[in-house]
Amino acid sequence: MSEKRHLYEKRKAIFPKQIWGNSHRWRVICGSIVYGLFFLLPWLQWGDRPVIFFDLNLRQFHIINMTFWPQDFMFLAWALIISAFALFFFTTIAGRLWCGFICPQTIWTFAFVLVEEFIEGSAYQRRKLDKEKLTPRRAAKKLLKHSIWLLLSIITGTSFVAYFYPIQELISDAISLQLSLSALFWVGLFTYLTYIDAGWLREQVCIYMCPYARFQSVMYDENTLAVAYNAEQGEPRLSKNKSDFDSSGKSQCIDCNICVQVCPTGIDIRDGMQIDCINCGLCVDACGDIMDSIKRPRDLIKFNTLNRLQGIKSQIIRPKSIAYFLVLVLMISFFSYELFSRSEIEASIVRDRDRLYQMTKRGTVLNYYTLKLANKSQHSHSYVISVDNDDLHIKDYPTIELKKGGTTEMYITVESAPHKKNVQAGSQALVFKLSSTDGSSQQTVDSRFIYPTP
Amino acid sequence: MSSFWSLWIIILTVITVAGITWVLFANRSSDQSETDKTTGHVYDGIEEYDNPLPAWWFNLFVATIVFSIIYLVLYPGMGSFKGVLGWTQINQWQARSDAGEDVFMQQAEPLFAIPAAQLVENHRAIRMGKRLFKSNCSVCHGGDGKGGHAFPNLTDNDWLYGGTEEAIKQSITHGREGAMPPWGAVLGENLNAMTTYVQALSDETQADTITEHEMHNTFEMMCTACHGKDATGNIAMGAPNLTDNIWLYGSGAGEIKMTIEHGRSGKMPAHEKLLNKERIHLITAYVMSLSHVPE
Repeated sequence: MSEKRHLYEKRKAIFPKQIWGNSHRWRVICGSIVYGLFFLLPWLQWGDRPVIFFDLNLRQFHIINMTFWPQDFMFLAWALIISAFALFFFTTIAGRLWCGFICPQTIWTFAFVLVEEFIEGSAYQRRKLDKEKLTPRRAAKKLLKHSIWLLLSIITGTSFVAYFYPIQELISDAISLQLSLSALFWVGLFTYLTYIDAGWLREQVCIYMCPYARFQSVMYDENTLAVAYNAEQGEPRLSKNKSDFDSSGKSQCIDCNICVQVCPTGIDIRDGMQIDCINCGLCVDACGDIMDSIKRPRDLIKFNTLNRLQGIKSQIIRPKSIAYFLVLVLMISFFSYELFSRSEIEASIVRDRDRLYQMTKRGTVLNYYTLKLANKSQHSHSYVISVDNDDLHIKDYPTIELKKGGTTEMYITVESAPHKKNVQAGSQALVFKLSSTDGSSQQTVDSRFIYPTP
Repeated sequence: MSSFWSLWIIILTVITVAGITWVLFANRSSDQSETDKTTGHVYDGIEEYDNPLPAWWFNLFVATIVFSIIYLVLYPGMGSFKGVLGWTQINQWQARSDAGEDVFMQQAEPLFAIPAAQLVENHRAIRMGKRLFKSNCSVCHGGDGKGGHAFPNLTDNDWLYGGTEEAIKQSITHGREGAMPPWGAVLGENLNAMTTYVQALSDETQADTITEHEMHNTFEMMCTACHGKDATGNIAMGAPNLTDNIWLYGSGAGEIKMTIEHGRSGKMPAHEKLLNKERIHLITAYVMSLSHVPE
């Protein structure tokens, strides 16, 4: 009987060797932008509030000079749809760019590995250190590493919560020990998640937890850029038989294993395309350096398409990429149109459901409405309201003054003129028009007016 | 739940939990040696790898089983076993409802100590009163309190039963029953004449000639007992003032005639059992604020 086969795989410790190269340079640029935005935005002010501030208490999302109310939730849906199509479009053309260069999981992991390398030394030294007994030297190094990780995690967690809780208040409340339990919980949770994700789980998140990894690979085709090993050129590997050395000067695999050593997810790119590959490009740089040293072209492992590997010309413009691009442009256009044409008044007018109408002694008919009005703009405004029927008017109501972000609820009564010509018996459409007195914004609301049948 | 079904659920639950645990632990390794790395599924030339799961996933499975056992001990789930925490949905609702009531009472108690008339300018009290009014009163009196046919307008400072704090509280707490008896049979052919007389009562142009009206004596005989000698009504019995041109059941001749001929009966329900005295106090303050004319 054969040996028992384990159906669960013990995690392999990965000690990626650091390498500096072109793709790493791009990652540093992209990562700096992501880090810079993430950590700096909470500190920037716009008037009397942070430039980006998700005010959950008041249910208002402030983004630069705009304030989104719960009624604007559509915009979040639009933004997510745009993000999804942008992901589809870029993935179709250039593969898992997101994973390798922008994904927070990747760039936070790289930062944590950098700390690890700084304290515990190179990949080789780290591997050795982990096999050591718990000597004071090892304990001190581990303690220092985890402390720095934790510090980075606290900064990350605090910055994240700062989008919901202005950072100056967050820090002063934390120092004076007045932080609410819920704020403490969220800072703690995001600190913990950062520490666990970037410090401990790392590639496990990409391989076993991330849904993007799975569905991004669905978008690949023969024309999609991906990190690929050119087996045609590389095989047979040189270490097996020196006589296989190709004298034509092509790049050829010398089985130096550097591509495996630098891989942050611990795979061998020479096994072909794999779901574990996050397209970080480190093996491209590593292999290229080796090829340089043996005076061969740097094209054994590189960002390539399946078509090009087979000597077929690769197409960037193809039905799939055109379709994604068009949808993306369409979505962005819709979004921008909706965004810039949105009304800064939010008004709802509901006919009083308890009373159909009321008749006065003067022979006029009254209908009652409840008006709810919100000023979504960044300034105070006064508003006037009118109806679209000459024979109907709104009974004594004042000009409505609302400061920025203010809301009000009031009752309005619409009265018919005694000698009505334009009012029919029964129910008829009535349009209310609300406008700010300075003409900056207006909105119409459809409602109905009911006049008794004789 | 009968003991059979209780037992049935317990047995099913135990078998499921035990079965899942067995399946999990029995499938940690396989006797079959690895011949091929794929599952054997092929579609469009794409084969499916049979990759092993990471070991820490196994621990997650175990954690879910441990969680379910702890849950079944703490909360109801095992048939009719109530769980050691004694948690029920009703308890939870009651606890939250009590917590809400505590918050309300904290706000309402200091306001209760202040006379309603003085709360009229109190923004917080009026806001609370408005909410209570909207959920309890607006069905009949309208969102704006202006009433409607057969439902009094609360904003015109005209009160059937009086507009003092005590009178309003009495109306809300114990309700009111208004009864206008039918006079059609008594008046007979004078019904139309009486209708014009009642209309004339609130017509300022006819004030000087009202005593000369043919129905003047009949009115004094039949109606003044409730509506008063000068027809200004009586708040002790809720008889409306007929001279102020405010009409509960409509001002048209037809409607007035209907009222006289067939009578009317109005009913304001008692809210004693629905609202506590603090709530009634706040609603009273809000109702007073509706017709409050700042000095």
